Amino acid sequence: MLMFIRKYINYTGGEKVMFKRVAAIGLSLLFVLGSTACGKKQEEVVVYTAVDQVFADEIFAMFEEETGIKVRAVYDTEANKTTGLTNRIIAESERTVCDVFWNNEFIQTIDLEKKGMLQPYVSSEANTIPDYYKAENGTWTAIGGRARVFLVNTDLLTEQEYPDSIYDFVNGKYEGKELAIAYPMFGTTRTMAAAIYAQLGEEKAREYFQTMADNGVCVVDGNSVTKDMAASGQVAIGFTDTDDAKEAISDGAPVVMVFPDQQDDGMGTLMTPATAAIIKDAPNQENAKAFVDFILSEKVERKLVEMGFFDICCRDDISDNGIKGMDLNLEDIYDYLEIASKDMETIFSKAQ
Amino acid sequence: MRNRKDAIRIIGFVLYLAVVWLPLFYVCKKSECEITLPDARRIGLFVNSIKLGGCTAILACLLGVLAALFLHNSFLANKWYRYFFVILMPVPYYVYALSWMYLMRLLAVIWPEVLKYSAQGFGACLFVETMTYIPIATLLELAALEMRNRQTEEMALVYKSPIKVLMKNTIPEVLPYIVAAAGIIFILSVTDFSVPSMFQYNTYMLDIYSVYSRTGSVAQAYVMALPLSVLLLPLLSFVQQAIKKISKPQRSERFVPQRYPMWLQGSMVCAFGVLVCQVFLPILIFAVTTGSLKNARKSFEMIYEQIGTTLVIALPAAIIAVLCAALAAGFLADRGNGVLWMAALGTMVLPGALQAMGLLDMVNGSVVHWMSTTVLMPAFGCALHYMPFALIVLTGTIKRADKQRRELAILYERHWYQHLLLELGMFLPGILCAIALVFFLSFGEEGIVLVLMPPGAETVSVKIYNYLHYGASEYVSGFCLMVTLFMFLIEVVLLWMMRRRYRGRHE
Repeated sequence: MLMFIRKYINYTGGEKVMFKRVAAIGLSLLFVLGSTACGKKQEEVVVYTAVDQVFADEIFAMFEEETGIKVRAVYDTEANKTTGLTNRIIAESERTVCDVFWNNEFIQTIDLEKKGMLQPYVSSEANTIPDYYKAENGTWTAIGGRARVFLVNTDLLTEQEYPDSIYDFVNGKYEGKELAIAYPMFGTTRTMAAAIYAQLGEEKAREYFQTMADNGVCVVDGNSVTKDMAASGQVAIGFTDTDDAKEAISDGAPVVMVFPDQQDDGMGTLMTPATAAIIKDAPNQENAKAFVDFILSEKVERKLVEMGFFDICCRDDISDNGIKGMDLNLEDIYDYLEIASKDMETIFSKAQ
Repeated sequence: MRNRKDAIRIIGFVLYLAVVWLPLFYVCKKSECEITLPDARRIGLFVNSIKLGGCTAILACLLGVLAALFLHNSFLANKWYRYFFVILMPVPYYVYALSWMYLMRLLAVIWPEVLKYSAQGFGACLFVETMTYIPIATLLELAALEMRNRQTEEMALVYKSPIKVLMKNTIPEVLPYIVAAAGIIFILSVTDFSVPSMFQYNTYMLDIYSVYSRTGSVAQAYVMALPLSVLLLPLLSFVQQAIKKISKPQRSERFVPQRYPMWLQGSMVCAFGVLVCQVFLPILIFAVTTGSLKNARKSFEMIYEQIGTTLVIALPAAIIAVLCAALAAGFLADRGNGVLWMAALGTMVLPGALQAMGLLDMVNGSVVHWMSTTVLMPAFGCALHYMPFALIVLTGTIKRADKQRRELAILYERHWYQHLLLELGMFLPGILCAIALVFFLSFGEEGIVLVLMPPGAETVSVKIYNYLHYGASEYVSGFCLMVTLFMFLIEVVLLWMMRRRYRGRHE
């Protein structure tokens, strides 16, 4: 074929050279693309995970060492604003690619369950996990938990000035420009908004967020930016997740974590467990089960606590950890997601 | 003969349209969409987007023209490293913007009062976006300056002052490229919400993402994005008119640098200073935050595999995008009108991640589903998204080409490919410009690759974002330094190859 084409390109030396180069580049490209498309099949499990890569990679390495099954991971990033993994799983529903969805929270997992994307699997490792952490139909199981927390800059506030309730964001104790929160239309801040709706009721919750917006609280792009602003002193208090807050502390920033509403009559803070679920028609069923068993095991949960990703171990009595969580069912929070998200759009997504 | 060529061009254009629109139609057909009239809140966000996109495009192009004029008229004119300013283009915009935030925090160490001047709102956002997009404007405008006809300019210089020749000859000649750059920057600015969000400046795109996040409907997102594509119309008609005025031979003789008035020379030096700052200040910040050579080495060990993967995605993406855009460019250059341009560029306003979702959905349900677990998917995704950008550059190039030479080639050609080879030679600068543009944009792309990346593989931008979220700023900076170094190496190798190829001739 090449000779045939070449026969027609033999008028000048320059054209010959050009033809050779174009052919060489074309063949090299085909080779590179072809070699990436083909590969030897081995025991593997495909995991889509929203857990931070630095933590997930270590757990994957442990799993590979223990079982010999290769983990092929797809990660999510905060910048993708939850449009990533769950929508990808839905788009791939005709021919499933993902075996296990290991999520860093529960809302999107419940959403996949409602859309019929998950396959029931009750792991033997889940026997010691409270029912509150499991789907009734066995499609997902939650584990561990991160908390919502105030990250307070100690250069800007004394201990007496620390906040102790989410109401401190709306009661005039601080100026709006001293406070930061991530856009509540995305990620765990959206989950927090839904939880506040479930806890306070629609009307009071809407009023709470409206007052927050009216006070001019800095609404920023993600929890990590909230953390950076509190750590650098651009704001005095950032409302974020504990994994972000711990990073600031380990970086040596002048900050402390304060858990909101921990008083005896306080509502507690939102605890966000991670979730693991097998995707419907997963191509590597047995390996997927092995991975879910591994993730739900007590040693992995404790390892993630040790690494600083989780604050609590779901197998312990939560009060033992000294953090009081909101008394809400995960499914109840999900039920308020739609209405809370719509309200957050109206309240926070507007021209200044 | 001419009829056959016309038929080929029409088929090419239809093929291009099919490639860019099919995934979107496919996914829109499947998802629900609710059409509502925009309320005051949405109109406010829309105005914010237009204000930011318009101001960024104007400012970046103005600085780009001045910087390009400086580069073209100074000691740097024929230096191989004159395109140094593109080396930060593959660094994700968000990370690039963060480097300016880091600068403020570094300054705060010396001067704590700086934190009072909180970097937020329109001004801060405009500054960072302008710095982010200056390389695109300068790249296109410098390429246009280097491709233009100098005979007429030299003739004009005999009779008129350099400033008059600049205003009446040079600027009109490169105007299509300036407007093309403005269009590209405008679109990139209005379709990005990450940088505005960082500076707490709410835009229309934030609302689109928010609605998509809530509903999961690509159709809904696209309906919301439609008003942005309508805005393209006046811009495109201006490009059309500007290009129609010009059809001159391109030459590349050496050119004597001009002495412009002091005010212009001063502005050119300032613009060049801004161009230098947009490269070297972030590099300095990356170097400072990397901390040590040990961290830099560790960053290299952690990122080199991802650089390879990204290269394997960005290079085919650039080639596919330019090939497909070339199919449509010939047709549009001859017969493009507002409606056809809209059809060709209408997908630009949709965020890449949503377009990618459509592609994934379509491929997953088709006979080529095997593709979805290869790096071909992100390469196609990037190509699909950046094809219209390549089309703008290529159409401008074809319109500016010497029509007499093209007609002579048609008259004397013995085989169709001789004509093709001649045209390839004539359009080479534009083709290279389009390839470079798509390559750099694909290299830094995050949303598309996140949706389409095969399991087990990772690109530079995804790794950077993941470590950014973790707060490992020393590694994030190290990664950015490595990417910058890699881009510099690519530039050196390419220019070395071109010097060998064109030895004895002017570059």
